[in-house]
Amino acid sequence: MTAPARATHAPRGAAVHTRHRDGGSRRARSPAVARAYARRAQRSGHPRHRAAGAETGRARFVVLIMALLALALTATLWLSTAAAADSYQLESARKTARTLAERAETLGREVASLETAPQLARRARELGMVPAGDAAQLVVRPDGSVGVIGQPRRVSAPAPPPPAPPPQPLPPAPAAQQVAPAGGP
Amino acid sequence: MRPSNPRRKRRLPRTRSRTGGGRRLALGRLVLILALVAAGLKLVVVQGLQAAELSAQAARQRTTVQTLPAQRGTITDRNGTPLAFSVEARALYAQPKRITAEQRAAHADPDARKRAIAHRVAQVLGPQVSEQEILDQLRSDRTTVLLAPFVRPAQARAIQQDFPEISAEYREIRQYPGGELAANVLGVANWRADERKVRGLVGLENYADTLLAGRDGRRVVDTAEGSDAIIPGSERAEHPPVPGSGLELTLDSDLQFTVAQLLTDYARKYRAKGASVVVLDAHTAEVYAMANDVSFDPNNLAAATPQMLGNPAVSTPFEPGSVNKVVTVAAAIDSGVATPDTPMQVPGELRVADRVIKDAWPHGTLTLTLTGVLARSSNVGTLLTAQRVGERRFLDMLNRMGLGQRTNVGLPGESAGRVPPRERWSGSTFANLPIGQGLSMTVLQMAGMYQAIANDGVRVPPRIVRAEIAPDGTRTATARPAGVRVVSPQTARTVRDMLRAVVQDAPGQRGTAPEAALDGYQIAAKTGTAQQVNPGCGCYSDSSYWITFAGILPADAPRFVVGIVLDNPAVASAAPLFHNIASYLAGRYQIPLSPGPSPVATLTLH
Repeated sequence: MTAPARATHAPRGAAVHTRHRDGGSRRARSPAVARAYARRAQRSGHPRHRAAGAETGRARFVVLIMALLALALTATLWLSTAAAADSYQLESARKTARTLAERAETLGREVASLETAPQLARRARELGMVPAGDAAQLVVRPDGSVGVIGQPRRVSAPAPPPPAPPPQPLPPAPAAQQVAPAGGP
Repeated sequence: MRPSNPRRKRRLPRTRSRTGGGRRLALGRLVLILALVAAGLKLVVVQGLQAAELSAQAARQRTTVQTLPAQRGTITDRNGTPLAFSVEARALYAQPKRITAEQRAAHADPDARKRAIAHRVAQVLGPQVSEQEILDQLRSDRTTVLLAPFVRPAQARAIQQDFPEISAEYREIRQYPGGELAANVLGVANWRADERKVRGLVGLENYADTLLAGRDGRRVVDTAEGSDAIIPGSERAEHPPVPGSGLELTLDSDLQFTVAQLLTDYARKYRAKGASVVVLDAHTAEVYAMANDVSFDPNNLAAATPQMLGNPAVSTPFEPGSVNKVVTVAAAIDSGVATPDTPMQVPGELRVADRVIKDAWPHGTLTLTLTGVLARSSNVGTLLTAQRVGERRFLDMLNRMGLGQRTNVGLPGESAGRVPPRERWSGSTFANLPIGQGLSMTVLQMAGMYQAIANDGVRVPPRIVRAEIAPDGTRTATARPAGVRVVSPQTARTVRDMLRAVVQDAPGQRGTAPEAALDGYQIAAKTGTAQQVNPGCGCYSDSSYWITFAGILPADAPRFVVGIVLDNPAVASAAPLFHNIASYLAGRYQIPLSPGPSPVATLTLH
């Protein structure tokens, strides 16, 4: 609301003033009171001075703002719902990833344990293999004849007794028990 | 007039109450002003004077510093086979008193709950725990009990899902998939409750602990009061953890296993009190295998005794015996005082100062070549040669061979051995040192001497860490130490050729260790037998010996150097053990055959 400038309403105030003067009670109507009356008059009289076009413009504006607000509210609701849904999905994906990573670690550990030399040696022994002794080697001499270096010998079958029980449980060994060909080539 | 009337009516009571109302108003105003002043003062005190203290208090109340654990580095062998690695685990805790209180508050049976917990824990963890023990712990009146120290994270989650009152705490387990494999070298690292971290206890794990451990990270979070629930988005001041670096060793785990197995079998068979073996690369001096007869399983530390944890191969020096004769012979050849074929009159015994030195076999005066002195391991012949070499040159050669100095191989507790300083030599010292008594060395130093001979006279200090693997996978090879020129290449080749005679088995020209020979390969080797010191009398014992052996495979194009020591075994030689190790080495590394058998050297002239 525009503040009523004293100069603008001076004539109306003057008129009131005059009327009061006519009434003979000059003291009752001080200039401040006169101004208050003037303001009241202006307040009540103001809308009537507005143009009809301005009225429709403001209504449109209000509708637009309300529509925007409604839209924003809907969008916010929708986004937060979507975010919540996504966060559930993310959480479940994270859980899966963690489970898989742990599984990979467990399996990696198992593989590392199974492929160590002591485990391989034990498995080979279980399969009936024995460590090869000295190898004999074939050598082609410059004249084309082939000689044997070393003596091919059969390795004695009884392997040394297993020194210690296996530290970890192992998957069952394959059923086929094969005996390695002992001795050199 | 009309508007003025009500005004007057209103004004009258106001005028009447002015005395009392005004006083009330003044009082109210005063109270308000006082309150304002008090509030202002308090504000100054709180915001100005006590600000730091109060905000610190508030921070204490709500912020929690969390440690972000750094994963310990992996130790692998030269082929990348893991020897030691870390896995994440959880420790499960319960608070029996709190469970009882909570169940009572909910008008439920605490014992039924505890039975259910024990049952579930045993069901998830399987045979590694006992249900009854867990139940006993839960029934105890302690505040906190540890149900299981090392549990897989997935198992911990499964239990916590059903029983939220069980708390899980971060742990790290150090795994050694090979068990006893190279355990003396690796040592062991275990979880420290006080540091909340895995720390090396012995061996390489301890020696390289700073490198392996990495640096824990930290972050500050706000937690809801009285609980561990983190307020989302409150994480700040995050120092990311720096994982530890990995180590790639020079060991070959297959060779390490086989060598350890052969050594243990041999030592057990001959009831040796101790035994160690080292296999070095002939040129780079990388340690391919280092084993002792006793080892331990780092995964089961409780079963290990302190003696089993050590690594005698680097920590326990011994008197080498005749293996040390190579020093005298190398010095003699290098200085030109003798050649391999120099004939020498070797009497049956030799008096030096107060001692009479004899050979291992009784004989009258023999004519031996220098090769014969070495191959038949004649003490008298060696001492005669040493006297021609002279004390100064002999001592100089001992130093260049690396005796009395640590190799700095990269393992803790390494002994430097002992070479008596020259000013402390007595008259008989120079009768002892050339034949390997009166000085001591580790099996690693002993192998190092022969590595110098194998590497054409350049001794490279041995190393066991091949590379460091940074957390991002960058591999930094360990700097190779500078070699030490011990003898000229020609001398080294000559001595190597002479050492071949040790394993020769020609009629009348037999060396001391024909059992060490390997078909198809020329072997240069030296046997040794040293009397042990009897701690009772401080003199040399006539019943307990160090049996030593050093060998080069193949002698014509060296690839490996093997050093063996046995502590008082019921056998006079380690040659068969060397033979087995050499046979495996030749097969595993597909070492090409030597062009021909070693030529027969003349040892004894008739």
